[in-house]
Amino acid sequence: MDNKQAVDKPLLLLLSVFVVATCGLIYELIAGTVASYLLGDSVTQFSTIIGAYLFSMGIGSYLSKFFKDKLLNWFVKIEIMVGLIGGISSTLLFTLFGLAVSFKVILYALVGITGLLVGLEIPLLMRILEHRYEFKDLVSKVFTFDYIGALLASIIFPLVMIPHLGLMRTSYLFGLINISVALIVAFKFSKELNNHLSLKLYGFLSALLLLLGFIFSNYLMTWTESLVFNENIIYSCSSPYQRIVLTQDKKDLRLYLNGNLQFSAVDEYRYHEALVHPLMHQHNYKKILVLGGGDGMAVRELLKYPQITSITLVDLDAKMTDLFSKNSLLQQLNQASLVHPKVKVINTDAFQWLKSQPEQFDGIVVDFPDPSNYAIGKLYSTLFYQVLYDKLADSGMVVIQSTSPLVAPKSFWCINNTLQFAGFKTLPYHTNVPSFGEWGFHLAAKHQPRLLTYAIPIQTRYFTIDEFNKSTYFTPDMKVDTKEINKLNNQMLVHLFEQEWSVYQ
Amino acid sequence: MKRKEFISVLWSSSLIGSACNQFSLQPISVTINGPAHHLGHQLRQPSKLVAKETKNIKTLIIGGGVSGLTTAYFLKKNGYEQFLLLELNDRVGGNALAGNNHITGYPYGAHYITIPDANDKPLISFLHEVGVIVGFNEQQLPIINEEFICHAPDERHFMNGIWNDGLIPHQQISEADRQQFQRFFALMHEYKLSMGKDGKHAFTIPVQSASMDEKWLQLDDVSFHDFLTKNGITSGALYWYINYCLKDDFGGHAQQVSAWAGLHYFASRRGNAANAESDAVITWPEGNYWLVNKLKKDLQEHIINNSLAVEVDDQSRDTILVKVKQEHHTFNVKANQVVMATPHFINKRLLKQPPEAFNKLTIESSPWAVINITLNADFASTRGIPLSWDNIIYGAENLGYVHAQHQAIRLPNQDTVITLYYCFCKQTPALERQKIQLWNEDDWKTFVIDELKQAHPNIKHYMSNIEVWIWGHGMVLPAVGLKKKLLKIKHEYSSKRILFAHTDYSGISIFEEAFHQGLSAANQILHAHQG
Repeated sequence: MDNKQAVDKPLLLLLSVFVVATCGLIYELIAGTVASYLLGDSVTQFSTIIGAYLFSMGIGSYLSKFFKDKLLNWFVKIEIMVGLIGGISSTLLFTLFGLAVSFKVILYALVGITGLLVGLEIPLLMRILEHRYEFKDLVSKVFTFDYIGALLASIIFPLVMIPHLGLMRTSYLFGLINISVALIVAFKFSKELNNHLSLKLYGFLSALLLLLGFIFSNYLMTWTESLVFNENIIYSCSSPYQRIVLTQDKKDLRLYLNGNLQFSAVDEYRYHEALVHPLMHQHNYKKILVLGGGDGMAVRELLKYPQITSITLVDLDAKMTDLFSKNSLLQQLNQASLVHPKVKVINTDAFQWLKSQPEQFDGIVVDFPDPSNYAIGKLYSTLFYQVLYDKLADSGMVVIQSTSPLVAPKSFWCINNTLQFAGFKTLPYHTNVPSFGEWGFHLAAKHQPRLLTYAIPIQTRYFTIDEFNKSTYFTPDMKVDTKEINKLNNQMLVHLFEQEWSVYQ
Repeated sequence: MKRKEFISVLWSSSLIGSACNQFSLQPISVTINGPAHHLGHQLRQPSKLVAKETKNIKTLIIGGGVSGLTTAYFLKKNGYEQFLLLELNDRVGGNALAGNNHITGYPYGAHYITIPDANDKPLISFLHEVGVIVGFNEQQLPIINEEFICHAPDERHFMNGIWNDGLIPHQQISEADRQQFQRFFALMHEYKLSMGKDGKHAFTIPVQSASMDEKWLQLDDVSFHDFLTKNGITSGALYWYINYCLKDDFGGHAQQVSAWAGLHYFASRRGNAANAESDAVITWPEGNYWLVNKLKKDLQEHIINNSLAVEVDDQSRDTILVKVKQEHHTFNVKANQVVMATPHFINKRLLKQPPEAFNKLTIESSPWAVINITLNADFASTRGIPLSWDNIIYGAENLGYVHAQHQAIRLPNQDTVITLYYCFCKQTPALERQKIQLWNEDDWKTFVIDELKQAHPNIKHYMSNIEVWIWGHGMVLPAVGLKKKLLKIKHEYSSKRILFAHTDYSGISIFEEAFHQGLSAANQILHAHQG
């Protein structure tokens, strides 16, 4: 047997039981935490993960009988494996959540493998130490260290590790500790181990990998993000209001705000032409207001109308408008619209600003994000539209992006009802933007907005007056009879929007 | 990109982000504040202060809370200029004071009103004047300014590890409990419809309009708890809810509060609006301080801040002499009329020779803490209903917290402010006052974190500032027997020269009562003036 010498350093091996137990439980807690973050329902996640983990430990213990010799070799190998798998587990889980068809399979596979390996270790170790102690002492010692390790893990995980290191770094750190123990054992027992050099090499490589993970976990965060996006991230930053991500693939440039696609360079012209030209086409509007639309694309379309004397763009996020004013790649896209002399950019809250400023505008473009939360839902409320009404010249007109009438018809017609409740006459229409799907808009004014009768020589790729007039027709699958009005004290639109988009998944 | 992917991106980016970033250890600063008690304690030795000058005025209002301000507001509105208003603090507002920081305004006390009763014409016309009511529909129902009606989602409660909709724990209670809730609300509805022989509602706000039939008044002799037991109410969940409501409005629990007052909480509201549910509330980020600003708008030249009335001497036949202390300066005011818009325990000290019955009357009030916490808005990401206006924790001693920015109509920043309300009414008010007087910054910090950790275990990692506002005497506790004592006092001690206008004398401390206290005083002054 190769473990005759090993018994001379039993304390080291017992200590490694302690470390293995601590690390094992930490991996299990990490899996539970990540799962309850990502899947919700922490009670279910934790209990199924603990169950799966303990069960796999049982399998590991059972399988241990098939390990006949080179027990110390196996012990070190298993420790390295546990450390490596446990160490990268949280990164792996976050990464795979966006990619995998069935995240749960991966989650439980990971928990199962970790449990199995940890389950192997105790029986192996007991067999390594079997001649050193009397059986009763052996059992007592090994399990004492095992359970104390578990206690330590359960205390430091919530109190020290998560608060100070966060999930990713915690798992890397414990992976490192795990592998360090394996390496110490490998060095102390060099003579007893077969092929100890390759074991040490594996150990060092794994440790190096985890160390890099530990140091660069911030970058890894962006990297996992890029995997989730499926595209090359060329720029990303967090403003106080949102996470801005630009991606590029072949010829397509895309902008995401908080993970929601804002435009794809391939077909954004369809969206922005449909947003701007029906408003501007037959009207001699001079004084224009754009709310939202910090990417400058709507302004680009507006600037095709030479009669416009001023465009005021109000967007909350200075990081957005700065990016689209200064970056040359993006300037190509919006044709440097945001730095045009007729354009004035104001970075402030649109609702607050609109309410407090005294002027009226001829044309107003309202291009807010979809009403996916209560804060944005307020920008689609009767109160907001009443303010909008006050700030619109009598002959003026407003256009409002109004989510998809195909996916979310109740939401779309709720916006229509809300506009009418605020006093507007409306003309709803829709268009197809491949990267978005079927998308809807409302023209709204103090007079009834009409179909277009004559064309104006403006260069467009998609928009024609015939196409627009057709787009005011809604097929039955986009029509729904709803009387709901979005008020601040019911936030009906947010409920409808959530309902309808969740079904669409 | 598919919807599912959108969501997963959102999840993973925000969660990894928060898992890595949220736990930065920032120090939490704590400040302890309250109405100017340093000045207030000088009340105890008025004779030591010597006045150097005397001002003459027709009417003097002492106290710049909602009652005193309402008196002043209506005097001014009716062209009566001969008055001054003394305020102890550096600004008026009383229980409706508010603070603010770089994020938002937030309340130090009272923070909402309910939909006004159709019979309450003066309040309705006031609310119309200041823009809370923007018009009336064909049925003459008031149209409330939508900005001020509590936005959705308005209320949630934390129970069994999840935030549930509304304040009533309807989802996670037993069938028996549920039936008791139904019975209780049916019973309250009966009382709501009850009328006295005098043709008045049995329970209504303002309480001065309520029926004086003995049948209803005798409910002042029993506690609400005894009243409930007699009516077969036993459910623990229901008792918790009732106690939450009573503490929130009266600063006392069902064993302390009289049945008459308790019924006023549950059976007096019959407001109706064109565009809001009848149980909706009207609120602002800074709470009722918004209304205070409207009340005080034209009163600048009449208000004297940082001034403590220390003695009111009505022994002379034609004038009342009021001694007033400012920081470095004492003066007298000679007035024909004084409105004491100050709590009863102050009035007892102020009056040089209070009549015996007046002196004997004790009006209890519990100490309160209103704690404004500045924190990262991510603190709220918990299971269930998202952050709402009112957020209460089932079974907790505290009264939950209000999200100060809930009524804001701008997109939120990363940081926000929540206002935690706590009424110290486990023991007697005096003992509770003694207890919290000794607490230092760290005690308050521990207290706040402990109160919230059940629903938000990691909340301390999100906090940056805790501002504790202590009300030693929060509001009148409508204890068993108080109503009858108040009626007696009214008979025995009313003069045309000294008018008491404080919610202590309503027995219920809410904006509507203060408004009517102030309005009655104003009407009496105007009447005497014209007569």
